[in-house]
Amino acid sequence: MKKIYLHPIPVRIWHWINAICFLILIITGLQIRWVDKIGLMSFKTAVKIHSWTGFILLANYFIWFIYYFATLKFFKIYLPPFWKPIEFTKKAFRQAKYYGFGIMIGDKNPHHPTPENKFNPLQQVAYLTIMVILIPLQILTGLVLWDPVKFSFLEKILGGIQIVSLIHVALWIFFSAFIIVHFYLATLGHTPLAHFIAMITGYEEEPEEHEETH
Amino acid sequence: MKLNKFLYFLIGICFLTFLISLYLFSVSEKISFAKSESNCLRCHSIKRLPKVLPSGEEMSLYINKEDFMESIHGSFSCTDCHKDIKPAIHPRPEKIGSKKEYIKKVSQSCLDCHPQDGLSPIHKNILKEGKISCSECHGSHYIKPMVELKKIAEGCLECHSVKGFSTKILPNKEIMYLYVEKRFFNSIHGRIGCLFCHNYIDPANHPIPTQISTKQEYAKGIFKNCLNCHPLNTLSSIHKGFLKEDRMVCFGCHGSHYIKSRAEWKKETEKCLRCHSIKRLPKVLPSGEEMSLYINKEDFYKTVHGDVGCWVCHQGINFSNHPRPMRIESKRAYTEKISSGCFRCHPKDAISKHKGHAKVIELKNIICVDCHGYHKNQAVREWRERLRYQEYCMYCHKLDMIKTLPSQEKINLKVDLSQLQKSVHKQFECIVCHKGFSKREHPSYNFKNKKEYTINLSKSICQSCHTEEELKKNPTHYAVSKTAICIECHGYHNVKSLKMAKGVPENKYCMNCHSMSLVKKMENGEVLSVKVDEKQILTSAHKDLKCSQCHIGFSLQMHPIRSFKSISEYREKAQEMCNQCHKKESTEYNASIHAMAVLKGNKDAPDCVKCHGYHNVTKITPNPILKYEVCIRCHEKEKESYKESIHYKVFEEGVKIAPVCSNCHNAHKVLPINIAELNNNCIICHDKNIKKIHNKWLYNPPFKLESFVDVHFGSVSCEVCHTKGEKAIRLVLMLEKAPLTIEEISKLFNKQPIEIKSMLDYNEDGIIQKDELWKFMGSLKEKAKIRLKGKLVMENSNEAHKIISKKEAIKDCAICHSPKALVKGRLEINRLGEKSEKFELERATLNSFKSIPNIKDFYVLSLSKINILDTLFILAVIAGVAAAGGHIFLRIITLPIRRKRREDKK
Repeated sequence: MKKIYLHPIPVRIWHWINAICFLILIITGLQIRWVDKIGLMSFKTAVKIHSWTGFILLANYFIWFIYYFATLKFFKIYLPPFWKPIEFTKKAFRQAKYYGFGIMIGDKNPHHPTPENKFNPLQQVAYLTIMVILIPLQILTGLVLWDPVKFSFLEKILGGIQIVSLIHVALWIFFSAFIIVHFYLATLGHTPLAHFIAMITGYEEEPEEHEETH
Repeated sequence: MKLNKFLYFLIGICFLTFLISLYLFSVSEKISFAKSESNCLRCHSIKRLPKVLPSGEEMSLYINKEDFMESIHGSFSCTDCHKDIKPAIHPRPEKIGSKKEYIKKVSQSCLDCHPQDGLSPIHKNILKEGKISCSECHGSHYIKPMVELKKIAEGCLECHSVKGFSTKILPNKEIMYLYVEKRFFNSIHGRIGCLFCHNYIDPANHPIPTQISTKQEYAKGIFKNCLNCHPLNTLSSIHKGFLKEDRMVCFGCHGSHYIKSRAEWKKETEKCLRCHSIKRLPKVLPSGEEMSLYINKEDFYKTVHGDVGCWVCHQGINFSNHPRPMRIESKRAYTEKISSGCFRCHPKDAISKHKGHAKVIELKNIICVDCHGYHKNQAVREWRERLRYQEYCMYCHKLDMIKTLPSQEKINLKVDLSQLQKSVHKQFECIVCHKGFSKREHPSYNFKNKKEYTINLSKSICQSCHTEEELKKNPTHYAVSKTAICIECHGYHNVKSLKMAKGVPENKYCMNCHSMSLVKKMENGEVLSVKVDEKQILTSAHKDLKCSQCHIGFSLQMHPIRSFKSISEYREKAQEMCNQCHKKESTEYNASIHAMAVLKGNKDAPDCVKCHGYHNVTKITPNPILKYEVCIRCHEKEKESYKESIHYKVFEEGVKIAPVCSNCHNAHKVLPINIAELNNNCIICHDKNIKKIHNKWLYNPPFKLESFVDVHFGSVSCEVCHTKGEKAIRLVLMLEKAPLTIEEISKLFNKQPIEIKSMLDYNEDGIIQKDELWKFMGSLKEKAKIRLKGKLVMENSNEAHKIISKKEAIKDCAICHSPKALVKGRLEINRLGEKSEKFELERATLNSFKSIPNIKDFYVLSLSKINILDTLFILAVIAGVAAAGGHIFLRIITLPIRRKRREDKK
């Protein structure tokens, strides 16, 4: 069993804050939309929590941003090797094949995470999209909805409050689904809790005979 | 000798013959008469000698021989009168048309012995009239001397002077007194006796009661006999008119049996005046009025009534009851009573020949004595000739005489002489202007209304002297004369010269005409008063301005004639005047819904002058009451809801800054509510820190940004939280930044506005469903770049006025931010110059996906959420769970494979 220091402390802090914020935002978002159907809290409380959490998420995003850009790890970890598209595509297919089929028949995970190469190609595409496009977009649309007057310029860029709202809600739907899948995939470590422990301790245990990733 | 004897004998015989002849000649008349009489009466004394005339009349030819012989004509031969009868050929029947005709013919013979010259005036008159012949009064064959007539009368009075005897009860129960005093003989009819008047009574068979039905009828029958001796053509015009009226019979004035002569009348008048010529003869009436009973004797005798005396007018008074005081309530009442008696002798038709006089009589405002005097009245003819025209006309026209025109307008014909005498026409007699009138002619103007009356009289009267050529000398005056009527400036009878001294202040110059009731007629017939009340100007905000500062183009030298189609066009021009100085207000006004309404032709729509007045221009702003009242003149409904507001409460308390209509809606830039952004006006009055105050609770954490208040201020009308009524999301159809009006949509579709409505609400249920709206928007977007602008407002706009206190205001976000919020939907399409067209909108429209491209800039969290996204959320969660679950499931069922592979490896 070898231990790899996969998640440095800033990443772990960012991740768990992000995870909690996501959950809170999804739930309060649902409460705001379904104020007539769900009674977890009042509309006003839901909005307050949602706004607070949104800003925490925003601040948290900067932890991620600063860490990954300051250490330039972003380019290694998140940026797929677009200069090797065929190889990358092949790897991506191999990874997809693993999740869809290989994992069932006991194939080895084709991707072995290292601190420099943490994500498999699918993760790379997904997290890059989420971290670079979707979360910023969710934050920006959230800001517009938080104060449409203050962020009226953004509103205009995005094409009006209705579109802003549409984007924000659509991403909320996506993240809701994503977080379920993400949670499930996190259980696909060499033990169901392996990735969770790794995200707490920073060390991913990799059995010598087994190679798995989350 | 024998010869001599024979000669003597012969001479003697001749002489004797002569003597006998002489005798015979002398008696021959008698013989011949006797012979004639015996010849005539031989037949005519036979009672049964009738003659039937061609007319069917039966004419008795019987003559009572004895009576005839006793009459004063008994000594005459029959043919003396019946000259037409020739004994030689008689009794060949005479040709007689009628009895009356024959009597008339025979009566001609009377004049042979009684020539007309010797007859009394009464007889002459009778003959002149020719209606009755001598024999009708004096009898035909049994002519009696006057003495005989008196004797017959004495016979009548033997019975009729007995007091007890002389009562007769008529069939209608009337009591008729038959008593006649013997003083009858002293009257002027005493000589002719009874039968002249009572000619139907036959003394031979009297007192067989005569059939009398009523006293009145009997009186009329007797009265006709008066005319026998006093024929109509001999009577005065007064008498003629009097008889024509047929209201009175002769003895109504002259008495019946004791007919008085003029001399007697005069005596009686003398008797009255014996007392009434005493100056100190007052009478105090119950009303407290003092009534002088004095009459100037000499003056009275000079009057036209001097001859007839007191009794003619004062009929109720006679010496048997006078001077017992008569009850007179007031002088006027007595005068009216006596005046009503004037018509007895001066019947209305006789005195109505003069139209003016007829009008005066008809109006009854003035009575005879008001003009003609009491006891000093003169003969009208004399009086008329003597007076100047001004005096003559003013006799009636000094009085309030109201003429009602066919339009029911009333004109007072009273003329103030003092005004007339001050006028530049003071030297003129009335007829100088009122041509066609004279002392004898009084034509009647027949104008339909006052306007026509004044215009026509101005033209026909004034311009006959003041000709167009004369007026043209002064172009200003000429211009004015084309639009104004002379008398409007110069007055009626108080005609004044309006020649202005050089250097007169401009306003004074203008006011010379415009202080009068001038009007301006528009091309469409509307009439605008151009009268200016100087007092209004002097108290107005424009008191220091000259007329020409507003009325550009007008000056002391210039008075252009302008023509306007209508009053509204004139008012448009009036606004241009205001624009000269009040540019800002004018620009603001021009953008207002009021200006649009004016442009659209709404006559009630306000323009500058409607609110500020024409010449009484008022500064409205400093006066809150005026500010309030100027709007509520039209906005009655809004006033009622405003009265329920806290704003009105403070206004009523007299707080100077209390908001009224214009504080919220602007004074000049009154825009349609849906584009007015009225919230900004709330902020103007309320605490400058209003945003901070709201921001205390209205913020989105973690920061308290005022911009979040702006978010709400921009999309929610203040009244939504500050009133209690129902809320609504209002969508307004916009073309870029301006609302798209229904008129513009009509143009785009080339349809009528009403068709646009049915195009929008095509299922015609009165509610716009989402499908209807999106279809309409789809068609409209093909034509123009349009969008819907949303705002949270009051369901009933008028409820917005009912602002409640701050404490009661809504602070609960969920009132609106909930899918189940009680907020309705409303679609508004603006109209030009009118309030917008409002449609009820299905609320679900706002939750439909198509609202995203159509209502880009309006979104109420939770309330206007897109419902389909909720479904997507559920599906996404299910999909996430299913993906994980499915994967787990596959991993479970493939577990043996993996286990086997592991074991194989091992």
